[in-house]
Amino acid sequence: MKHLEITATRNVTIIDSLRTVLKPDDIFFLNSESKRDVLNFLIEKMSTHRSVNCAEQLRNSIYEREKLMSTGIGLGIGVPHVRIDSVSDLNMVVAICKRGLNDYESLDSEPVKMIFMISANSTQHSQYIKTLSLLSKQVKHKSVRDKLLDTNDPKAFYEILTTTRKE
Amino acid sequence: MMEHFHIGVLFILGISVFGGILGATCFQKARVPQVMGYVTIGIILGMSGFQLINNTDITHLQPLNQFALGIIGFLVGGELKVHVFKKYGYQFLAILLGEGIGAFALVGGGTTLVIYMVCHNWAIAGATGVVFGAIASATDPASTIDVLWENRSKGALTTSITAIVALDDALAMTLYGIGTCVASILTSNTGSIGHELLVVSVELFGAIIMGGVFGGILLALIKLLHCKEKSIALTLGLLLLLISISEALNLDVILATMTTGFIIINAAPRRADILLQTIREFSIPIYVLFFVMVGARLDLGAMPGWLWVIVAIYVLGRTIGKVTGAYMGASITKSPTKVKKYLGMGILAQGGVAVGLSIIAGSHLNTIMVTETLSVGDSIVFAITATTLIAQIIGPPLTKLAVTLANENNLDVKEEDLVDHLPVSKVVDNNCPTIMENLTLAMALQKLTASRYKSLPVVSCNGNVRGMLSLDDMRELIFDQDAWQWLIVGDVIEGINHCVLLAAPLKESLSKIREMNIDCLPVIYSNDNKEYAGVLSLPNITKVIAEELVKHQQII
Repeated sequence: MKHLEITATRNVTIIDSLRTVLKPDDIFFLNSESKRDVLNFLIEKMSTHRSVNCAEQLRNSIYEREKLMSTGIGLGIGVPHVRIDSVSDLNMVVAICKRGLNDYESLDSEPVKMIFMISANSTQHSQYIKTLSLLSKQVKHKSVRDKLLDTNDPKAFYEILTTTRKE
Repeated sequence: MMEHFHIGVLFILGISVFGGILGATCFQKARVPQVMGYVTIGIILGMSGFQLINNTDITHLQPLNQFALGIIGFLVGGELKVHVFKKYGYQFLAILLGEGIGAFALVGGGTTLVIYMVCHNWAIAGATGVVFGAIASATDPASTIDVLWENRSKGALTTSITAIVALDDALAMTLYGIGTCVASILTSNTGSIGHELLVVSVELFGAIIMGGVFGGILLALIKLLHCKEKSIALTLGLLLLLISISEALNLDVILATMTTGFIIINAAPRRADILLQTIREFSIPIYVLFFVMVGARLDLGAMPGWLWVIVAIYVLGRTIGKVTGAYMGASITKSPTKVKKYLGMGILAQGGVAVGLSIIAGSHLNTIMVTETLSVGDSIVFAITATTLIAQIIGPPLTKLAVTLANENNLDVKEEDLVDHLPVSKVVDNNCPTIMENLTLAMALQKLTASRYKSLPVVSCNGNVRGMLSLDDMRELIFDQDAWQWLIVGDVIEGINHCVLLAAPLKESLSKIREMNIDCLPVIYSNDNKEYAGVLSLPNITKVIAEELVKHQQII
């Protein structure tokens, strides 16, 4: 009983965190097959957020991070992410490319079909890590990934992503 | 009226200490011992200057003088370690007798002749000469030790000087006792040498016994009490009691407190060291006041011309007597060459003890007239105050010169001194492994757990510092080890909020590390060049400082 209570508490926190950073309007279905095009698209969309003050710095930082190591984490997931001063709060935008991006250079060399771009302020260390971790935990399950790729509706995608998965 | 009295004394205390420190700072900048600054300010404020401090004030502040003498004696006693005496006992005795008797003989003889030429009375001349000679044998421990501390000197010469200035008070008291007894007998044909010697013996041995008793009490208390503040308060309270009781019983205050200091440093060296260091720091305003009063009581305008001749003979005779006497004593006992050559030069300062003895002589001998207007007592007080000023002008700089020529300066180095003076570049640790910012967390964790450091510096591909990585930075991901495969170090570190410049002072950087409660910080070359230059780590700082201290010990 005590174990279930603890689990339930943790799931409530998880839901709040992803729902805080992502809105259905920030989820986009694209036909592109180019990593660069998708990243540029997402950067442009993220730059329209109020908490992003310098699109140029965002762009440069995203690509610098890619140079250090590809953010294709495997299983068809890409998580380009940065912490910079010109962003004042956590942001997330998502692109779904069902054809797959073969040039993403992911860890398992598989095409990347879902790209979750995250940005945060340099000081938001803890929230940033939590968001990355939370996302990782959600999408590592095949059932969740399959459901996400099955839908064409941003709202449905949003619900699936931010709904707790029973452990 | 009481209100006016309190305000007056407070003003004098305040201006003496404040002015004394300012004066000392100016003199220090001119590389002159700070004690000179204190005395000079005293002259400016006192009878020869603005007369802000007058004789009444000096009399009212006499208890503070006694307190200062007591503290000085205690601290000097704290410098005397038994193992040093076991090693150098005979040398010290020979040097002590040589310089003490040398000064006594030359000054006593010279001043006797001058006084005779003034008053044409051998009895009065002899009586005055003997007292001058006895006082001349004393060396001021306060200003001499102050110079040795200021210059952080350490070595055979420093040890000898410390021992001699501590011990020659006893010799001076003995000669003084004999001297005043002879003076009384010569001028009044009453009294006996035997009785006077007995009185002096009681004063000296009684002081040693009293100091021993208080030393035992203090020793027991500091062993029981582990609180530093209480130990200091107790020590000061006990010293005040000892000083007041010694005064009341006519015992030698300096010898009593010296005995107390001697007992605790030899019976509980570690605790005593900390206690003495704190008392030394606390006593600074007392010292300042004491030496300002030495200068303040000098009334240059009231001294007749022949008394200045006495002053000149006193200074010359004392200098020659001490230098040659010390040389002979050191030669006979085959002391090291630097002790033979420079010890005499190092013990020329004169201060509290001589002034104290002159004040006592002044009161005992003020009915015996040298001239119609000037008594033996007053002439002693004036002359000794003037000679004290001169001895304080030449004495401390010569002490400094002596230890400098003997290459014993800056050898008494403590850990705090090294921390104060070393830059970060001297203690930077170049052996700490670094982590590239693009390393995965999984690999970084392996490196972190394999090293002895709790955190490791993170560098970019071009060698610039990015921050530090510790296990704490990874705690959010402790349950998500999958993420360790695709997250890199650069994703989890907090950035280069805190780092240290290579040329920065160690003291500031060490405070930073301690405030942040971490064990190391990355070091960069400059604010414009953030290239990695090593880490500043507590274990390495401790190691380097220990090595430096050992090096200094080996030089000694």
